[in-house]
Amino acid sequence: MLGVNLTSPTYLEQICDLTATGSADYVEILIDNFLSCDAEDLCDVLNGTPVAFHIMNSKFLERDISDLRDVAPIIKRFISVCNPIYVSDHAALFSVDGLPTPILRELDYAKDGEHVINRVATWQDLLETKVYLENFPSILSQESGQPEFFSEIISSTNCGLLFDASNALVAEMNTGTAVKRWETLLSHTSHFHSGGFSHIPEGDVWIDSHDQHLATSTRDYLQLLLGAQGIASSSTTLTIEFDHNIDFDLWKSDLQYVRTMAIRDHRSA
Amino acid sequence: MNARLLINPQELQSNTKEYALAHFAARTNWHKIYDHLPTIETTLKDKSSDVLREFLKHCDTSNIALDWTRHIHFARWLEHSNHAKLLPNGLDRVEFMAATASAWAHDNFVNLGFSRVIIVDKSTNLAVGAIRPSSINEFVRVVRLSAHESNEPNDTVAQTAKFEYGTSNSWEIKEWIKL
Repeated sequence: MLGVNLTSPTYLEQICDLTATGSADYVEILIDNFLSCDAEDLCDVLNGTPVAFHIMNSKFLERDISDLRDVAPIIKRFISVCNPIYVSDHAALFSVDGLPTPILRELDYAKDGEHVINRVATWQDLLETKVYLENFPSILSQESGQPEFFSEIISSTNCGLLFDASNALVAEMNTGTAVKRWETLLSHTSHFHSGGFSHIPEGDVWIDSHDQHLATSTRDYLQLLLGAQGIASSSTTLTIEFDHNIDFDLWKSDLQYVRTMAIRDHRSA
Repeated sequence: MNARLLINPQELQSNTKEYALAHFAARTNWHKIYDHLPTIETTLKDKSSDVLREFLKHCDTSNIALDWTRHIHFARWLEHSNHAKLLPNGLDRVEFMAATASAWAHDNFVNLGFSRVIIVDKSTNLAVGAIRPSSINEFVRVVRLSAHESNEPNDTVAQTAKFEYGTSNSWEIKEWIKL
């Protein structure tokens, strides 16, 4: 299944159009931004379109447990009413010394394992569902690797991996962590993400910016990952993300490319 | 890398990944602040980045959290900084209060279960409210409210702002909290 992300009402009409015309099969909703809404209304507006839930600001690794206990029933209510394909969140930090950072901060993979395991287990218990954690678009190198860290978290908590292919490519370009190192984990996941990224020349840094269409390297990597089975399988999902400078023609073009990957793969074989 | 550099990007060697990351964070902060203050941004023009840099340094030194209250902190700091003279018409407090109310309404993890916030400046009796949407196809609404009742004198806009906020599911606020 092929999905598009919805982060605000601004593009609701166009997103609904993408699903109505068959460009996308489901909508991944950034549920944080709609927690004040009525859950039944959310389903009604989307008119039966399948949904997935992405969580950005739960800050479940840092927020007080008592606050997580307060928010969990609200998210659970949406889960109960909308029956999302998956629920995903971020294994990342949002603050330093208690002060919010303007961008996500990467975990320290050598030190944070035990805390993350405890919190992932707690968050899944509170939500009463499996949570799929998205891999981080690393910028700075660490001695301990992210793929191995995720492997430990997943085996300890039975959480899922929401594998963001473009994030893995960004991390590879910035830190040298080869995408190949994710291989053993990929056989255990069926939920994928991809989005556009951009380059900052000063410092030679790649940023997961979601402000443009998929890079050729991302398309090639997706072909490698999903080409054989494609997204035809109902249990495999791929969300193509676009958050800024949204160009719906480019978005449709990416969706069309991924939609036909399996066909191309069979022909080339 | 010292993670505090994401809050206050000082003294980094340029052309490094650390520099690029810290300045990407600063650019994100620029948008978080100025995208909601069109009048201030237009007035400050090319000084906006310098002003922000000083503000970020002040927040870092004073341990000020730039959460949904960031525009109130910025207003309070700017009003008493040397940059106040760059604003010939003074500080439009309503713009800062509207930005704050909007940020509250957009952060659904704050004051869970409440749909409305009112931000008041008790020194001027200015009041701005925001309403969280109840439907997926509604937007956050920010509204200017009629003068808030106060025992404070309201004839001197120049005096120090006294920002407070209250939350509810109507416009009736039971408890005011200082910002």
